[in-house]
Formats: sequence, structure tokens, C-alpha cells
Amino acid sequence: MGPDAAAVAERALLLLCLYQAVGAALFIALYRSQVASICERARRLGGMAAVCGLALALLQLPLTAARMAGDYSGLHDARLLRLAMHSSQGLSCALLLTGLALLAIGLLWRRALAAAWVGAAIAVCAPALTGHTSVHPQRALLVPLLVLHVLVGAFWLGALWPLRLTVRLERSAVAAAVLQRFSKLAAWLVPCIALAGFGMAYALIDDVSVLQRPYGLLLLGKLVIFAGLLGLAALNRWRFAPVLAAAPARARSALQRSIVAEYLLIAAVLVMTATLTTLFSPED
Amino acid sequence: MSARAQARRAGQLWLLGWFWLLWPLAAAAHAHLKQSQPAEGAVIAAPAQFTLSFSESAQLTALSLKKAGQSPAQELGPLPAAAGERLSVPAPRLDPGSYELRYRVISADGHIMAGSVHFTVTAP
Repeated sequence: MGPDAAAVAERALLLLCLYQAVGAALFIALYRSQVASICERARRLGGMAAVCGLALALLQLPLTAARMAGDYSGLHDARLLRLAMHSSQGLSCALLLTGLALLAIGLLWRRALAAAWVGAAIAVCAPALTGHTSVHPQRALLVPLLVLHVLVGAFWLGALWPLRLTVRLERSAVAAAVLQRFSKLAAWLVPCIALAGFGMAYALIDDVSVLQRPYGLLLLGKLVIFAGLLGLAALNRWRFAPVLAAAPARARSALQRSIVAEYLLIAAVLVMTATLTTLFSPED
Repeated sequence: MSARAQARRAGQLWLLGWFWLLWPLAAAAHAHLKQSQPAEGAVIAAPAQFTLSFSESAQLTALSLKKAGQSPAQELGPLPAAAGERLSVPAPRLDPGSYELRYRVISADGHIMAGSVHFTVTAP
């Protein structure tokens, strides 16, 4: 595996860990009074994700140096490592490390939960400090859109595992209430992902012919998966959740399967995002 | 400091952070190769140097030359210490044959771009 492919894999896993950790912190903030025991598990999962994210974020600059060299000799090339550190990726990486460290402390140490929320706020800003967003003339529009895109995406992904546990372990009435509350909130927030995505694409893409090239094809792929995710979310909200009280066993297993499918689809979107942002640009 | 004052201070710092994040920069997006010496597909006498011209200022991070049918590629240097739109590197002595000049640059937005230029050197 060359350094380019390794950087894509590292970024995809890092995004997954970041979204999981930030999402866990948000889920706990919203639902700890309703499902305390589930939030306890979400806290541990989010904390582990933050620790894994920290390890992956530490690899980011050495991998950038390897990509600059075109082979792994860059890993120990002092000039390239210094260049990577002083590039916009260095700043973004520093912010990400700070955010993930606070998330790990806040989620793994119960008394410091507030640190996790501060960490989440810092970590979601990190991707906006590098790449197109960081230097584009319409930066004032792109930065808030990207932060919103990441924040809501993390809320969605991070809520899925605790929701699955809620469906599996909690009483039907509690699970139905939590799902209903999540669905209501998601109905407002999830369209923000699409709106922010369209806004960024509108600012970054000058020529529609880009949709025939790798950057555009990956964007379209993300859009198709997003449509599938909306379909699954609608199925959960209008078909499975309402019958949770009447036919608990069937609804519970259907909901769990559907939530796992949502998780895998969002993970696929993150792999596409990592590929898109590492290897391609709208101008290619 | 009271809790309210602490919250106000945190809010001020947050706003300051956003202001800094949103402060517009002069640079645009990725650097793309606009022109090269030798040009893509050129058939020329051995060049004295290689010159790459980019759409934006870029920092050259790797440059290598591979002759067709031979491996490994030869690393070229010294590379320019500073970023620029037009980057030149002295060429080694080249025998007649087909060559691929491979480059990697990092642009202002931190993106790494890789590319190559193919050319043929003729006998003098």
C-alpha cells in the first residue's frame, strides 16, 4: 500500500472515530436524563473512539510527509515533516488533537463531562482549517457550512449505536419515546447535512462537467447513499418505531437491523469523503 | 470569577475563534501544472534544467526522473527551498531516450498534488 492509499485509510478511520466521539458527547448531552445506563455505554464507546482518533491523528503529519515524498522515506525526512507541520494540515491536526484529547478525558472520566463538549466544539472546527475551505475566497460561507455538515453528521452517526442499544435493552415504552424524540430532532437537523453539502458544492464547483470526473462522481455517490439513509430513517420513524409497543419482538429486530445498515452506510460515506478530500479536487 | 462571567468570557473567546477562522485569505485552491519545460510529449535535445509552472504558488516536495526501460527512478535536486509559481531544478546529463519526470507539490491549502511530464531526448 502506497502512502496515498494509507492516507485515505487513515483519514477514513479518523473521521469515523471523530464522528463517533463527538456524536457520543452530543447523545449524552441530550438523552442522559432519559436513558442513563445507555449513556454510560455511549460514554465508554465514545471515549474509546476518541483515544483511537488521537492515535490516528498522530499519524496524520508523518503520512503527509510520506505523501510529499511519494514513498515512506518521507516518514523520517526532517524537511518534509517540518513542511507538513507548518502547512494548514499542521494547524488542523493540532486543533483535532486538542479536541480529541478533551473528548477522551471528558468521556472516560465521568466528572469531566463538560470537557467532552468543549472538545467536540473544537474538533468539529478542525476540518475547516485545511483543504479548499481554508483558502477559498468564499471562506466566510464555506467554514460555517462545513462545521455544520460535520456536526450534524457526527450527531447522526454517534446516536446510532446508543439508539440500537436502547432498542435492544430498554423497555418498549422508553425505547419508543427515545426514538420519537430522536426522529423529531433528526427531521430538523438531517436536512442541514444536505443543505450544507449543496452550499459547499455550489461554492466549490465552477463547472458541472466535474460531475463526470472522480471528484464529482464521488460527490454523486455520497448523494445516492444519503438518499438511501433518508429512506432507512423514514422506515424507522414511520414503520418500525410506531409498532414497537404493539409488536415489540419483530419491531425491535427490524429496528436494530435498520440502524446497523444506517451505520454502515454512513461509514461508507466517510470512506468516500476521505478519498475525495485526500486525492481529488473540483479543479482536477 | 463568577459562573456568568466565565460563560461570557468563553463566549467571547468562541466568537474570537470564529472571527479568526473566517478571516479571508488571499490564496485560492489547489496548484495545478500550467506549463512545463520540457513540455508534455516534447522531443528535444538534452535540457539544462526542468521548469514547472503552476496555477498557484506551490512547494516542490519531490522530483524524480525515470528513463523508459530503466528503474529505479533518479531523485533530482536540490529542490527550491521556497514555494513559488515557477519552480526550476537543474537537470542531470541525459542520454537519448524517453523519460518521465515525476513531481509532487504541496499547495497553500495543504493539498498534495502529484503528476508527471513525458518527453524524449534526441541524440545531439
